[in-house]
Amino acid sequence: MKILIVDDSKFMRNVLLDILSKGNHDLIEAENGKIALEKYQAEKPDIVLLDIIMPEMDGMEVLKKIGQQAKVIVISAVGQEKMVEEAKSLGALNYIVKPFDNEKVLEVIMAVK
Amino acid sequence: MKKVIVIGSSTGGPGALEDILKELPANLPVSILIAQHLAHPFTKTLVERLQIVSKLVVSEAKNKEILEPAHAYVIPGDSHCFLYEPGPRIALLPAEDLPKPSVDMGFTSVAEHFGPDTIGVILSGMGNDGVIGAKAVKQLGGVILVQNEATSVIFGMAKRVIESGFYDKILSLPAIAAKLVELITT
Repeated sequence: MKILIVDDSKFMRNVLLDILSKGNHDLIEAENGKIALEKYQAEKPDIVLLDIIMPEMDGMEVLKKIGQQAKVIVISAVGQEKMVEEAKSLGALNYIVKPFDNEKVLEVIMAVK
Repeated sequence: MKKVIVIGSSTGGPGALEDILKELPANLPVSILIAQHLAHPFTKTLVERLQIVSKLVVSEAKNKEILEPAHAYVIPGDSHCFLYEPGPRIALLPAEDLPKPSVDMGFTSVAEHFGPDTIGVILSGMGNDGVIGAKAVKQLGGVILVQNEATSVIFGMAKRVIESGFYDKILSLPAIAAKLVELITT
């Protein structure tokens, strides 16, 4: 699968790249919402892993643009339940809460049909 | 700036924060982010109290501010704090839920940006805010110090973190500042 990882933290993108590199995936990165939209249009990934809090354009803004067409999994933090609900209403399929276990990430990715 | 310190505290925290901050040198090459459970006007008072005893610059955290070394940022009592790039810089989100500011959210976000260079400290306080944050810090390779029972006003948050196993050392209040300096300079 082709997966677009969207997170402003390079460290977290590397953590996710490391977890997902164990599967046979084509991995793409974006460090903010604006770049994520450009890469989404250019690369047409199967799944978008999307952090909520980002500069330039946050995860919600990205969801407003592509939530109905893309398969998006939102990465949220503890206490962001309201944001998760909003993300779901904008089309997010599922969510992962930080801090997450590697298995949880793989499980959620595998569950995307 | 390589490392960062993030401190979580509640009841008994302000006094403990004073004791730690007064021991840290003026040229400390790291930022300190402080999540002290406190209502908004009182976080301002806390800043004033800490600035009197500390050689570092102490201020209330502001939106979009880039983290600077030798600077302690107290998260306002009506907000939760996250970091974002480039910077990293501070993002404050309005907090409706208690406790606030959230230690879990602050620790998790700092760990995301600093990974193994994160030093988290859990001080005196009630409740279990901090357990998830400590997990995030440990998972991403950072260090967690907790204040011991003997020097805590309330041994609650630290106790919960110890029970969770997501910590490195249990230290007395006077030993925490010394350990921080050691961790930063080595």
